Amino acid sequence: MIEITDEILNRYIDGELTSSELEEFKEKLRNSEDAMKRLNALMLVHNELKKYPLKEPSLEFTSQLMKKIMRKPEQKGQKYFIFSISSFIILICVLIVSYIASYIVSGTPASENNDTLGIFISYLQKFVHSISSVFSKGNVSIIGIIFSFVIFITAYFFFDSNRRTRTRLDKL
Amino acid sequence: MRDLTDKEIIESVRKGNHSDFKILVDRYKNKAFSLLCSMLRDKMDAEEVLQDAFIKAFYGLKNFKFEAKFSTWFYRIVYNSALSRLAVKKRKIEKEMISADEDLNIADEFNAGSAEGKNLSEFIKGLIDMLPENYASVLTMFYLEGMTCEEIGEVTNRSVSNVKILLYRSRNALKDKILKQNYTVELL
Repeated sequence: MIEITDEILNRYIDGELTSSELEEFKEKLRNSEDAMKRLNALMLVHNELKKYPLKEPSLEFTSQLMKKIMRKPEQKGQKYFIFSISSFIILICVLIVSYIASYIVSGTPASENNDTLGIFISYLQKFVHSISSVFSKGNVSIIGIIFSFVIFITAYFFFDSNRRTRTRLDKL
Repeated sequence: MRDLTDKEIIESVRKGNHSDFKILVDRYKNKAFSLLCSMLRDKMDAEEVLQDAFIKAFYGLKNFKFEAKFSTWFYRIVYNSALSRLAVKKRKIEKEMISADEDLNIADEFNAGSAEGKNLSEFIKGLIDMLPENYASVLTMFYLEGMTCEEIGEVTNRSVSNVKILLYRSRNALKDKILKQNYTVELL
């Protein structure tokens, strides 16, 4: 036996009742004024919702969006450039650190491993020594090249941001 | 050009004809905007989120595999962007996005709704604007976008039965309000 609940009314509106349910539903509906009233109200809601108007964004929406989209690829290319440069710098740093570490480890005598503090102090001394050796003699030129490179990159971004600011100001 | 299918437009955009994306924008902007307005209830916010959603869709096109319809995929971006915006606005989203299985008396949301001096359409519009976001979004997708419950389920990450429950409850709440205001006189 089918009972005319709100769910059944909704299923009827959406055409989801089976043929046997539908027959029973119609039969019950004929004998129930209350159910008919509820169905009418629900149909009213359903029909009004179907007529509900679409809202529209501002008139310039599409043009503004397309401008943004067309501008983005340039920024994306710039991101790749930044990523590759920063990866290169990180790689150089890692190489320097590993060179220093290998230098310290290879120079540590096995007998010094007994006292923890002693080991730490000797590591520290060796670290300072290796740092000073990195900045001496022929290594200075390598460090110089790296610093020049970093300065060059920084200058590039500085001038690029200046250029973009100027372009933005020109637009205003 | 306007008669191109979504798939054809997407393929053209992928080939580098970025300006063709405009056709998709024009095709979906009003519907998506309506959905966002029903969820965010602020036109400025809705427009901003819509722009972000289109930009996300544009850059996501290269990964779109046509496993679902473009519209379903795009509305999922729109819906999720709206949820993120709501979260940013520190609204009590968890409370309002509760599972449809939980008991919820949405009639409480309509206490402010009065029929005085309004025709039926205006009255119903007012009531829809007062629905909680999850109910309003389901109603908008079902009626304005013409989506099926299955598609709405895909967009909102809900089961079909949950979507139906939300849909039925929204309609029932509106129906109860209409019955209370004696609008049924026009019908009987």
